[in-house]
Amino acid sequence: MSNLAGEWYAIVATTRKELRLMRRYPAEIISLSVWMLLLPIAYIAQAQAFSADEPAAIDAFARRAGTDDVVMFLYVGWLVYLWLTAVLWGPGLALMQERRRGSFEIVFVSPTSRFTLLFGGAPAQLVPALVVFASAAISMRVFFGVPLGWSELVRWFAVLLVAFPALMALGGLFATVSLSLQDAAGVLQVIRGAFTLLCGVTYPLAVLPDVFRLIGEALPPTHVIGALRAAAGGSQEFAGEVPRLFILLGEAVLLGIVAMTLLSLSVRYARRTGRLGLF
Amino acid sequence: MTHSAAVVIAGVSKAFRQGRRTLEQRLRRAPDTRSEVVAVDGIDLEVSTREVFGLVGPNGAGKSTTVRMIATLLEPTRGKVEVCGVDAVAHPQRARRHLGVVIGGERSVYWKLTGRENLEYFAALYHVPRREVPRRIERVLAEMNLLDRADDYAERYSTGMRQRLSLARALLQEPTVLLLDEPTSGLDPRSVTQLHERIARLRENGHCVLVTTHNMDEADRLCDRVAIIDRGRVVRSGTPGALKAALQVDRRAIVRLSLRPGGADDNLVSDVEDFATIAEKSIDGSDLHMVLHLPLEVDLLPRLVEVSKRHEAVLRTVEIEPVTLRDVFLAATENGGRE
Repeated sequence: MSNLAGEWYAIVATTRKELRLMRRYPAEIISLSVWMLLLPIAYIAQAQAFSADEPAAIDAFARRAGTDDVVMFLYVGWLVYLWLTAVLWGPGLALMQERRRGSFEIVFVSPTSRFTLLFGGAPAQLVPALVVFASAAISMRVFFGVPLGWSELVRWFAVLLVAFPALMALGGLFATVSLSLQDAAGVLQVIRGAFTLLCGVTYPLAVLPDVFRLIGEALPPTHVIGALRAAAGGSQEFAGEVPRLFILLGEAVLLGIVAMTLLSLSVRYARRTGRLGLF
Repeated sequence: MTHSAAVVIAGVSKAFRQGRRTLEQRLRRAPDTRSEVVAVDGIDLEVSTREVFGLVGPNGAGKSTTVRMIATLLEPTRGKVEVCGVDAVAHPQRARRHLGVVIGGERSVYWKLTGRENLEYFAALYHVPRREVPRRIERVLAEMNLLDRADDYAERYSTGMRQRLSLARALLQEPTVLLLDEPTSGLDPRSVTQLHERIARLRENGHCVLVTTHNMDEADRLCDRVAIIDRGRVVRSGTPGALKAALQVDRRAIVRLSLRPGGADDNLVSDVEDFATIAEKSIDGSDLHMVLHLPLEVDLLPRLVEVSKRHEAVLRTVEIEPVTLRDVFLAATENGGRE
């Protein structure tokens, strides 16, 4: 078997293994869909309470956010937040969990490539992403009557596919970094908090101080949120966001390269210091 | 390297830094005050195909470090490691194609996958040709006596079954060299015996099996050759028979004496040393317990009775046994009984 065929087969097997484990530990997927139902509802109620449904308040929001559709705005923000959470808790902690379980060294001594070790299970991550998207679309329609038609759903799916590599690369980067961390779960919470603050999950970036806004605008989740909000807004609005999608693809390549380089460096360091099984 | 040598280690050393160097110290470029601990110190070994080779030694002697260097999990500080003629330091990826590794025991399998699913996954990681996967999985499951439980989750297996599943996984890519780190730890005596039989069969099938253990009886029964490692160095190596013969004693005696009230044991021990080597000694109240190594010509009992009388001690029990690898180990390592 050629190396390429071997690697392809290893990626397929890793994906199959991840899907089996997802099916056998279903709590994470179920909790994701439940959170997707509950979180936006709480924030929509809060927004209604703050604005008291006053037209002036809605106008002020629309001037900053570019839309007066508060429901869609909040749903999309939380959708990306929960997707990112699933990525960080899943692929982001995958290597660390392998190490804790005791299987990391065994996987490492196989002749498969480091790319497959880091990203082999990525295709399986489409499942939590689709669960979050579907849960958001259904609850928007059922609870708030937001008319998401096929064209909006197709545009959302297109954004999902384009954004997927960037989020996987982000997960891969965190997976590599987490190997060297004593408390990866704690750091993960900080990162999640930073993304919530900087990426405009529940408010438009326009309300942030300039420095935070500039940082936030460069982050992949901000592009994903922007593209999804535009995709729900209409085809013309979505067309204006196409450059974001190219930026996302570029960021995916860049983050992927950084993750692979870091993995290579940390594995080399671990082989020298004997920390491969410990990190 | 001869054609039959599957693993060659020449002048291999591994040193680790001990202690921490904080980020602040690094940024300040403060002098590095960490000490260096030598875990493996210039080891030379050659292991052939169709051979079970044991690395034995006390905890922390350097056995696992040596195995991890062969497995490409650790880079030696200096020296050469070859696996089937491949330089495992320079080309770890190529060396891995010849290696089957069992490290971490039962924890190294996925508990929420069935035995068969575990093997399917690892077959892919090991690049086993796709068409051959079902046949190989059936074969290793049969070899490890797991066929009837192949479709149960690994979490429902006993410790011994999970250990056998780990071994089945290591055999998937039909490796020339099998590295087994403490393969019987946590197993009951029946499972140990079964695993030994399987390892012996692997040798008959042409594998080179390198086992680490701190159980001397296991090494004695299982291994064709043994290297005793202490403080990172090989202190004895050879067949268990040759190592025992080199000890120049053919029996060991386990002796229990009761000392007279208030009596010291120093003079008595000194008198015993005139006709036997004391391998182990301990005192429990007034009871003195000794393990003696006896040369062939020594007639132990009369001399022991005479020494006891001289020091007003009472000889309670004497058990005489053939010398074992454990005795070789105790003689070879400085702090006897450290195991």
